[in-house]
Amino acid sequence: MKGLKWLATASAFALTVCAVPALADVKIEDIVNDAATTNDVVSNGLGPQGQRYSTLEAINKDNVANLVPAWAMSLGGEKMRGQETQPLVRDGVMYITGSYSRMWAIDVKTGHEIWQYDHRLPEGILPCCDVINRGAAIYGDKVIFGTLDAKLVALNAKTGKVVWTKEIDDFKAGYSYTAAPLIVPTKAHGPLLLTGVSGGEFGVVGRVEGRKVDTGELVWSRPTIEGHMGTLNGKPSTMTGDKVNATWPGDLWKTGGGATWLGGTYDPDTGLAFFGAGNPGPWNSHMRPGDNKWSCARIAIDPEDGSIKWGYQTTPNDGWDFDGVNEVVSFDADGKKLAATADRNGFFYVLDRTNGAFQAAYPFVSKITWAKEIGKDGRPVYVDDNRPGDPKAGKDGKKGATVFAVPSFLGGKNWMPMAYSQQTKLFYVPSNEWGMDIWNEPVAYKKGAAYLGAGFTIKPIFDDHIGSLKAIDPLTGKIVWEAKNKAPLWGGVLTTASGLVFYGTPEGEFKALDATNGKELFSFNTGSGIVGSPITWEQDGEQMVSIVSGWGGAVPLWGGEVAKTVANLNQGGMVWTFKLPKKMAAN
Amino acid sequence: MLTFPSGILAAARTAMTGALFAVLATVLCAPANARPLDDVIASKVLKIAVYEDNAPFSWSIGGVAKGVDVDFGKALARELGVEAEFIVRMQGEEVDDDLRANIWKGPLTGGGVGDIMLHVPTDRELAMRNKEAVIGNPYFLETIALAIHPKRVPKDATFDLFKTEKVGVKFGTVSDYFLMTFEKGALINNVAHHLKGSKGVEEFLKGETAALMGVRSEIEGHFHEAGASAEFITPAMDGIFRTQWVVGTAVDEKSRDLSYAIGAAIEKLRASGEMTKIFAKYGVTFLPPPES
Repeated sequence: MKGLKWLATASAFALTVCAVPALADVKIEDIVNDAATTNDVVSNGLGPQGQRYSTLEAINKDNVANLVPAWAMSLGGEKMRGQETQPLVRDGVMYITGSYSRMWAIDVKTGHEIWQYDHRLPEGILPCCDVINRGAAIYGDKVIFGTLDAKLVALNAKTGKVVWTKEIDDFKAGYSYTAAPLIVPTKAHGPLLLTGVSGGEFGVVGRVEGRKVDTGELVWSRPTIEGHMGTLNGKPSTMTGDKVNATWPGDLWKTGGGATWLGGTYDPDTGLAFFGAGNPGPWNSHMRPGDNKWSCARIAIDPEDGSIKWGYQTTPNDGWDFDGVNEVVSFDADGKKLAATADRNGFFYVLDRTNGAFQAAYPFVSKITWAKEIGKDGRPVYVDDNRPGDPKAGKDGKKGATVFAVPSFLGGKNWMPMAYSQQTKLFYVPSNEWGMDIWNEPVAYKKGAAYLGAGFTIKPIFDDHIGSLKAIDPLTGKIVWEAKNKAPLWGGVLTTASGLVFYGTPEGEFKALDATNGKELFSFNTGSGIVGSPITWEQDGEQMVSIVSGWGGAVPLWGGEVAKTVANLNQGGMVWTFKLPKKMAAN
Repeated sequence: MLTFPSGILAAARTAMTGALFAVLATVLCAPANARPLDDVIASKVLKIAVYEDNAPFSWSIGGVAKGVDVDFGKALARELGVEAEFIVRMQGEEVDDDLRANIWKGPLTGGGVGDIMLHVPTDRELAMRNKEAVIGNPYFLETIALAIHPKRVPKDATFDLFKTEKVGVKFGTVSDYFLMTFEKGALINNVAHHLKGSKGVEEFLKGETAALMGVRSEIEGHFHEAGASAEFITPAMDGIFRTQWVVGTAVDEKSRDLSYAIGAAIEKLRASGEMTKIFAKYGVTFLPPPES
């Protein structure tokens, strides 16, 4: 019997391999219209606007409790950690990236692997925040993703063979790439692949780059920091900002930081790509009076030439490490073209996405300390006493005054993407309630030499939870409901027209909540913590839901009281795909 | 991101300070392959972790390790009667991260740990928060100094001079903080930042800056490389947080006996004058750590 069973499995596998090649090339229209098509997922965010909203309704509030696994597939090996990916699906094939710069194609009917690509990583590289990857892009006959040694790799979608490889920057200088690339249409160059950069030497300036999808050839580059010159077709184009050092003291703009490590979204209505920029350097904000543009900001880029159409700074003169990288999600309301972003700094912003004009900002986590509010002019009303002190002004002249700041530098929300429901008109924001003791230190050591440093201790704010999935009305800022979670949330959210919200927890539960009131309708233990983002699509008339489970990412790296909430979680790497039993779906 | 200063500090940047990282990682991670002295002797190889891109102390060209720390490491291995093998590794965000990667845990991406790591500041607080490593064996005194163009900067100059003359400095260092905050920002418009020491020396030699402030050994090394020699001054630097610090070695806390043997070897190299010769080969003045 055993032998027979083995044979049956083997032949099924062979059949799937033969059955696969009905792959049609992904066209740019497919990507632009991804949100409207239910039979595939060909962009990060289920549509380039990043709403993570599906019009599918077969799985609904009444039947979601009956979801069962259709299949699961292990990512195998010894590399079971930190699965932050969002799957893509096209023509019956799922593409996922995994930890350690790996990628798979999977038959969505059976869960069998079609191919696996293992990027050969140099030994001893030191990515700052675990060996994660956040997903791929797909176009034509290629799937493309970034690697921990800062390369972009395009694979043939059918075979998993390398078509082209391009270096974003030198991994030896600390560069890596973990975000999902973004593919956008342009008239001038055809479809372009847009990426940021992550890592790099302390002080290196962030940038967004556009490349030809077919070859990886660089078309334009746009630095995030004021005063730096962009390039277009290999020549200098325009400078970022109006003036070289309008918002930086001296020549600090040269080393201004502003890393673009989380990738971007694209809005077909305005033709703009939205990227975020990280914190400025150095840590000590007293050393760089001024707004320090465009650090801690969102910028809208015209993909035709890489020019900046508008910028909006969430934390000018940042002193708390509030990276401005979180995703910008386009949505329409009140007849306006708007965009929303939930910042590290704890405020949920609504902007006019045509010009970046500030509309409103609301706190989405409790007890924010660093700013009283965001004023009508769109600038934070700082609480001056909550800015970490200048070491020179410290009592002993060694360490600056310590402040307890909320949120912590890991943010009211970190990288994990939120979702927007066109049905409920609410945003579903995976947030965390925590603060930090933070101080500027005179001395830390880098490469054996004395540098300026900063010290942090992260602390929960509430006894019973850190994570909090919140439903937010973008027009009023009202938090309609909240689902608390003991451990910090670190995975993305999905919402559907049938009124459901899907997300996972570090404790390993994959959940569906009622989008109107947050009531839990479904929960499944995936066996390891979830830090990835779910998708849904329709396969041969059935609605499917997938999530990749596998604990890791930056969360387990935290010490102190936060560590207690995650200390006993096991690592993993498993793709789970769910559907309704046939007779249930028919009801 | 913390360091993500880009992030990074980027990504995940989600980042975290080395100190916190180290604390937790201890709990979560399997022990590294610490090798006490007997194992090192038996294997006939001392694995030495040094920094990539850290001239004049260590760097690699085509897989070959070079620099002061590399010659010093070879001499240490010779004193122990074994061969030296080098792990030339990129830096983490802070030295705490490097201790984890190089000494007690190893990088997530493989490559393993060394038996010993060189160029670790023998700072008490650093040692206190990295209990998985034993930091000790001070072998060199790093000092802050200013290289000057004598025609533009008199030997008895004070920092007031840089209200009118340009001074180069490496971004984010203690020297940078000192210059940028001097008299509430009086020098800001004359501070020229660079990220790489070699770039700072290049700008200085072209005359774009009148002086170059930073770690003396690094400046000396780049001058030597450029075929030039530097003249240094050390004016009063009131309010700077560190004008000098000592570097030594780190081993896994289970390899204390190896650390003692290394200490004895360093004594011999100093007494014989070999240390001075090794440093001089790269244009660096050997400054012994102060007796404690």
